[in-house]
Amino acid sequence: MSLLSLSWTTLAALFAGLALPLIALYLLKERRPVALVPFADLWLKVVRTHSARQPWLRFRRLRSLLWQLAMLAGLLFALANPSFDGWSGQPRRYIAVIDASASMLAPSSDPQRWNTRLDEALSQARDEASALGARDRGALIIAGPTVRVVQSLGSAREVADATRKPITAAGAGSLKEAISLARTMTAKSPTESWLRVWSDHEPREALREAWEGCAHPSTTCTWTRVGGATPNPAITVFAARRSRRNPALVDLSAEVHNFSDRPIPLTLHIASGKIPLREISIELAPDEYERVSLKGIDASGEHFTASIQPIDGTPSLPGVTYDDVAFAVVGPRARLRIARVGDRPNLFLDAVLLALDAELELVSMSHEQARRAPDHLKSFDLVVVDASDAPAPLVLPDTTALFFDPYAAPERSFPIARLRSIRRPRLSARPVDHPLVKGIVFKDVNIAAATSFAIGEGDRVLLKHFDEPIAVTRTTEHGEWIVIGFDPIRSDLPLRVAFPMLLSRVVERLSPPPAGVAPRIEAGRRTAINMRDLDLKLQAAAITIVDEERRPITRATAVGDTIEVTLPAPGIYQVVDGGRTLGRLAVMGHGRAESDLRPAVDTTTIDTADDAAPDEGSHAPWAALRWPPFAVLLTLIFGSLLLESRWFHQRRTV
Amino acid sequence: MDPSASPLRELRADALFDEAFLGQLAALSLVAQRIVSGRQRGERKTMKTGAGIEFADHRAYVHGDDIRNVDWGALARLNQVLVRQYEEDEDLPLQLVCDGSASMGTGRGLKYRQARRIVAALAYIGLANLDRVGVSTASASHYTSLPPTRGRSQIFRVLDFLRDAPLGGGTDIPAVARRLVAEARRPGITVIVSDFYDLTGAAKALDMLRQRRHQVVCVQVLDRLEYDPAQLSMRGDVTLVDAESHSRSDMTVTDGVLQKFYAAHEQFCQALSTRCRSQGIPYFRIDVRDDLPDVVLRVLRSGGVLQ
Repeated sequence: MSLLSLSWTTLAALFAGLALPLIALYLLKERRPVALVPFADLWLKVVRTHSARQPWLRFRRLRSLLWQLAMLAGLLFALANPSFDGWSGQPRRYIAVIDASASMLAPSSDPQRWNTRLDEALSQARDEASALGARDRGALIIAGPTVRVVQSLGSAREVADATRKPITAAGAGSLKEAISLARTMTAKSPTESWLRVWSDHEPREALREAWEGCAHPSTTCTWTRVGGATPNPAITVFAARRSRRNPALVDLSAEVHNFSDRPIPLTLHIASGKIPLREISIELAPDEYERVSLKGIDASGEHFTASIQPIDGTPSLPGVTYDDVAFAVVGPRARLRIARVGDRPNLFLDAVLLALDAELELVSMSHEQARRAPDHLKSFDLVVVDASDAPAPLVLPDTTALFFDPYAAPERSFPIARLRSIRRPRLSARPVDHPLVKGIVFKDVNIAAATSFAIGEGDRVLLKHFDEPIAVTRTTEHGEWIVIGFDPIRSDLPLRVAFPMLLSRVVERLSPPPAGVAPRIEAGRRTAINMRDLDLKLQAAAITIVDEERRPITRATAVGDTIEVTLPAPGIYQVVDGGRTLGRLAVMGHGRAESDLRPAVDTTTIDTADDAAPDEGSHAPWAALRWPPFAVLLTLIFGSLLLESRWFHQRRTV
Repeated sequence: MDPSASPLRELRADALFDEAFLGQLAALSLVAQRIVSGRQRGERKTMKTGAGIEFADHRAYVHGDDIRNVDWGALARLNQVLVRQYEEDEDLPLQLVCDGSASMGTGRGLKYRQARRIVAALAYIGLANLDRVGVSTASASHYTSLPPTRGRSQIFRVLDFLRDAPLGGGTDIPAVARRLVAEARRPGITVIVSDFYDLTGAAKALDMLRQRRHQVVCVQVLDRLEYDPAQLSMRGDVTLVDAESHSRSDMTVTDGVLQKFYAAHEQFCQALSTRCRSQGIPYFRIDVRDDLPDVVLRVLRSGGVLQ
């Protein structure tokens, strides 16, 4: 024998909890009414004689208490829904699969009874599980972003209890995988099985592959759509990227969709962090969507929020709220690390570099320091080697470098050979087809002295004194060398516009283009993310994802530049590497399917034998209560209690 | 007697002695006057010999006898010194005792009210008949008395006394009897108005008073609601508290118990009545709802309260 609704422990606790007040009430009842009599001796004389003849009267109260306690025990026992093996027939198997996608948070078909569609499905599953017999076994599978078996094959009470556990819905549901798992469970059962699916989506799409296993003749598969027709405006797209023209600016794109059969006016708010950027009023016709593109937004932040709100003076927007807000991030601007190697101050060079509209990190060091730490120079994106009269050899960094007058000490050797020294060279006005100098006017720049180079194969000329190259570029194994054959300090080039333009071209040439739109990441769905798409450079294989309060959410291991993560809820997350924030991720809470809440309520039993369209069928192929005598038992107990109460009070009315 | 001349006209009616009661007293006095008509004041003879006029008997002379009572004729004829004895003319006092025990106060005090009204009525009639009337209320815890007095106007004191009479304590009729015997200079008519809820004490008290030559009249005042099963609404488990001893007794009251209690009560009253009648004591059983004039007239007619 087993109890289907309550455990023995719960039953005992309930009995104790209810019996104690009952006994307490009896004890209180023992405080008999007091009657003042003038001649108690005569009463005592009579009662002693009477009681002596009827001793059972002394035990009448105790007998009544025991009777009522027995009735209470019987009542609780009946409510616990006992079931004996002999009554239950062949054991059956009941598998409940409940969609836990974000749309299941939408209002239920009967808001008076259930808040959400998920509540509605859980409630129905609980009712059905409670009706299982003692030998039946059931399971509860939640098809959230991942498939979760909340209750593996167990008793009816365990399944019913499992439906009371906290279950959250988010992101897209994994119904297909859940149905496949349930199908496996039912396939192993040699006896009758019932596979129940609750979702607010149409069954067709998920059925095609997953439903094939339901063809077993002993398995009944039922798909129940829950939820009513709920109008819902939603942000279906929100993305951000750095402007191609100016990485300091941001391009934003948002799409708002009206999933309803009536027009909905609303306001789209876009903010960077907590700073509002735009507020756009939109009126969407039924099933209409509108895309909003904002280009060149000057926003200091790197994460953005879009939200739709009712226009002033109107009630709140219908539908669910999880798709009324969306998040987007842009990667950090690329930062160039530049080392200036020189033994003298060069204010012209420093001023130009620092004035560039780029994210720069400028480090100065002497030639001697540079020679002692060649490996350190490798970490820089650009090394600017200033002119030096010292005869010591120049450092030749294994990275992109800009050399000024490498032959300031004539006896020095340099990979690009020297042709000759030229006093007061005159720069040719003929345009040079090279992106570094194209369009820059070097005409009439006065130079004290310069060195012409003997260019080799692959070298390209930037500046000429007549036909002699005095500025060249060479592509090396580790980068590109840009060699200027004169010292700018000994010329008036720093006073010309050409000087900062030349340096700006060099920096731009080194800076990578800004990343495109960050990939869409949906809450609860495992997503592969290429860090380069987010302008992030991974320094370690293991990274941590934290939320904006820096609470760890998950860890991920990078394969190359790609990580795979599952983020539970929409919002902004940070990618942290060893305590250092590399960048941010924006997670959407839903997909388009989770925002369209309009499927109607329907219950469908799929006849899998012919793979036909869903037929209207029985909602519950198994009887809800298979042993009605318990109703009779309950009735008898209540009747006995009423009779006992009547007798009891009749005897004790004063 | 002219009712208009009754001092009752000057009495202030209250809850105990209301206008109707006072009117009944006036009417009762007229009826009582007829019952005792033709009798003179002080005609009630005692059994004592003393200083009366009417010759009663002779006895032998003893030292100390008044020489004036020596029957000189008998001495001459019989040669014996005999002394004449005369019947002493005196009025017998009417002593009214109202039970003031707590048992008289149960049932909203109707028994005590009825008892005091009976006592007041008898006292008024006695005073109107120029008898010496004493009133006392007693219980085991208190005893208050109004000394015997005479005259119709003394009804004021009597009513005031009864109005202020205390209530409480147990029923202790033997103790009352002892006090009456001790205080009475000579025995008289003693009317005891009580519920006599004392299983053994009542008989002892009656025996004591009879032995001391008191002419006792028992008036038992009862409340039917206290002993009749048809009237009692009490059922089930009840804690009975004795009004006098305050002792508590838990019991289950059923119809059978009620019927047995009624039978026992009747048996108790019957025993009291039998005891009284065997000793020649008038016994009256009065209910609190009985009409007062009827009660008083029953007592007057058959009890010898008024001679």
